[in-house]
Amino acid sequence: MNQQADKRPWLLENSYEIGDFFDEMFAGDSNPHRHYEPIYEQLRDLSRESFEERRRQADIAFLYQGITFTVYNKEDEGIERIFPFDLIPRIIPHQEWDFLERGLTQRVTALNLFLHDIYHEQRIIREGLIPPELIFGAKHFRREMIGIHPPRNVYAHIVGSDLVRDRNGEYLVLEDNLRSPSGVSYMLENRQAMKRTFPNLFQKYEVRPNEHYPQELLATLRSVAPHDMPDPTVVLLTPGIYNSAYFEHTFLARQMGIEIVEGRDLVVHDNHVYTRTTRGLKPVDVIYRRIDDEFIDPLSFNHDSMLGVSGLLNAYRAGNVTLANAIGTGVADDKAVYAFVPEIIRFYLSEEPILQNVPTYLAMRDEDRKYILDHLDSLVVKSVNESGGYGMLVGTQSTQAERDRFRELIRIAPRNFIAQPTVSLSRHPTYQDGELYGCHVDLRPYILCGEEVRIVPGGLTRVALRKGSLVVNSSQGGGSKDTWVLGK
Amino acid sequence: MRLQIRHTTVFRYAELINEAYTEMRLRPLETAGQRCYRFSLTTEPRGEVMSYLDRYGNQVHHFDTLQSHQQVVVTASSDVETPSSFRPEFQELPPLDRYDFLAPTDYAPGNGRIGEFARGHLVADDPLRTARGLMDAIYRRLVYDPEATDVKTRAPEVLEIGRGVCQDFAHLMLAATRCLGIPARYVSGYLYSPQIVNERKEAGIAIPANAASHAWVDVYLENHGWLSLDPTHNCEQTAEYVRVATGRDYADVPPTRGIYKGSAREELEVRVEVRAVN
Repeated sequence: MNQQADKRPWLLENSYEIGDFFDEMFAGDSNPHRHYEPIYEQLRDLSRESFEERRRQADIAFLYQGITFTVYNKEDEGIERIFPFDLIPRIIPHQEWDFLERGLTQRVTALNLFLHDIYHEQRIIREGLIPPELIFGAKHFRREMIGIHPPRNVYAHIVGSDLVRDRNGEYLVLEDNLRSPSGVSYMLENRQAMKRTFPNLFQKYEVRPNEHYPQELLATLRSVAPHDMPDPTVVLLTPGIYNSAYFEHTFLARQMGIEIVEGRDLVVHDNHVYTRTTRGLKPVDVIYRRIDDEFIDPLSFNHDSMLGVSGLLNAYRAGNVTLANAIGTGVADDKAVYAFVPEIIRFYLSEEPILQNVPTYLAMRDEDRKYILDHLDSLVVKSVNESGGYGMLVGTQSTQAERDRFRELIRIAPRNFIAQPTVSLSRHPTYQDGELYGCHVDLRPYILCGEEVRIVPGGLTRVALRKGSLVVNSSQGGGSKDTWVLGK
Repeated sequence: MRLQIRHTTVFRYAELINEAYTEMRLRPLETAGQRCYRFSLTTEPRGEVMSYLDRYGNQVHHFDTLQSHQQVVVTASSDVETPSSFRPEFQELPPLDRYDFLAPTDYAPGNGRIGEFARGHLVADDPLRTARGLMDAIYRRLVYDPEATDVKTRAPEVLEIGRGVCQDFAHLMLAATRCLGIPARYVSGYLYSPQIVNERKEAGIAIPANAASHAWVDVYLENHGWLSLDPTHNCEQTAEYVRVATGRDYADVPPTRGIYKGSAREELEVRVEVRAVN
C-alpha cells in the first residue's frame, strides 16, 4: 500500500480500504481489476477541482430535470428527494454479463411458467413441491386470475431482479420484483449524465448501449397485444402525480411515444377499454400499468379505489385488453415463494439454476423458525409482503427492543416472515465528502418478456450511501451509479 | 321437481348516476343432477349482457350502463329441474378448494367462542355425525328473525345474539365445521316451500318479496364427497332447493354486485317468484 501511495489517484489518498468484502474495482492486492484500469488512470489524472466541477454539473442536471423520488416516513408524509448519483461507474465485463443474462432469462422463464401453472393446473402443488398454503395464503395470489389466458402465456412482462455479490464475488439473487419494478428511468438518466460528464471515458471503453430500453419495452408490450393485432394502441396507466415513481411514468411514456393516462381517463364498455378523448372514445389494446392489483378495478378489487378502471378485469378476462404486468404476479415475488425459485426452475425447465439464491429460512417451517428466533441478532428478517426495505430487521444493527418486536411478530404470523444470513454485499468505490469510500452495491437488471426475453445490458446499480449501511433502496437513503456492460 | 323462477332486481337512485357496472350471479347451476333448461337475463334500459365463469364455477352475468340514469331493472328467468336429493359423484377435493373451504373468512372466522361451540359438538372420527350435530345445534340455538341482523353481520355476532336469517345460519355453520377441519362452502339459491311460508305467516313473521332466496351449506366428507345441509331448517337439501352459486362465504356469491359514479344513494328492490310446474 505505502509503496503505491504516490501512484494512487488523489481520490484514494486517504487510504481506501477494501475491508473484508468483494470490491468491484480493486483486487485483493489493491490494484484495480483489469476492466477498471482505464477509469482508474483517468481518475488519477483528474484534478480534484475538475472532478468537483463535473460532479456539480451532474447534480444540477438531475435537479433541473426533476429526477426525484418520494420517501415515505413513519408519519406517512412524503418527502421529495433527488436520487443521489455517483460519478464512478460500475463496470461489468462481457463474460460476466453473458452469465447473468443466461441466468436471468432462465429465471424469468421459469417464473412465468410457474405463474401460468398456479393459475391453471397447479401441478407444482399437486406434485407436492410447494405447500399449498404457501401459494393460496399469499397476499398477492389472485383467485380472479384462475382460468384467464394472457397472450403468449406471459404474466410478468417486466421483471426487476435484484442481484448482489458475496464475499467471493459470486452473484446471488436477493429478490425478484414481478409487479411494477421501478428505477429504470434512473438507469437511463445515469447514462446520459455520464456521457455529458465524462465523454472521453466512453472512448476508452466499449460500453454496450442501454438507451434503447424504451423501444425494447414498447416492442415487448406490442408483442403481447390481444389477438396478435399488428398495430395495437398502448397506454401507460399511472396512479397519478402523488405516486413516488410518477416522474418515471411520464419519462417512459414520453420516451415510448405513448399516452400516459390515469384511471379516470379510461372507460370500459361491453368488455372493451377506451380512452376518453375530445373526439370521443378511442380503443386501447395494451395497458402498461404502474398501479397495484388492489386498486386497478374497483368493481373486482378495492371498491373504494379512486385510481382504477371499473370493469377492467372483465375486459381483460374476455381477452380484449392486455395488462402488463398481469394481475396476480406478486405471488411469484413473495419472499417465502422466493425460497422455492431454485425448485421452480428445476421443475419447469429440468435445468439446474444458473443464478443462486441467498440461503433463506422460512419462519413457517418449525425447524427454520427455531433457528431464526435463536439467531435474530445475526440474521436479516424480512416481512414477506413488504418491499422497498420497509418491514425488515437487520440483526447485526438492531436493538433489543426491535428484536423483541420481531420475535412477537414472527410468533403471531410465521407465514409472513423469512430470514437470511447477512450477505457481505460487494462494495464499490463511491465519492462522498471529498474522498472515495467503499459503499455496498446491488444490481437491478430489467428483464422484458414478450414474444422473447430481452435484457438491456446492465441495469440500475444502487449504492448504500450511509456509511456501513446495507440497505440500497432509494427510499432508505440509497443512491445510484451508471452501470457499464463491456462489449467483447 | 320442475321449477320456474323469476328474479327481478330494481336499482333505484336518489339522483342521476352514470357509468354503472353490475355483476349478477343468478343462473342456476348445472351440477349434481340439477338441470337448467332455460335462462334469460334482460336489463332495462337495454344493454349488452356478457358473462363468465368465476373461480368457483358460478356463472356471472354483467353489463354496464354508461349513460345517466336513475333506475335499472334486471329480470332473470329460469326454468329448472331439481333432483330429489343432492348426491354429487365423489371427487377428490382439489388443493385450492381444500384450502379455500377450510380457511376462516371475514364472515365466518373460526376463533374464540365459535371454536368452543363447535368443539362441543365434535364426534371423534365421525365428520358426518359431527356436521349433522352442528346443524341441529345451530337450528336449536338460533331464532329465525329477519329484524335482528343485516347483510354485513358476521358469524361471531350471530352466535352472540342468537338470531338471524338463512345467511347467518349458514355462516355460523361454515365457521363451526371449518374449525373442526371439515371443509364447507356457502350455497346461495332458492327454496320453494309454500309450507314454510305459511308457517312463518302464522308465526307473525313478515314475508318479504324475496323470501324464496335462500342460503345453506355443503360440507365435504373425506372418501364420501359433498353433503348439502340447511341449518335454517335442520334438513338435507331436497327437491325444493335450487342451487345458484357456491363460494367461501356470502362475499363470493352475492346475487348482485356493482359500482357507479355519483354520490346518490342506491336502493335495491328484489322480488323472487318461484312456481312449480308439472
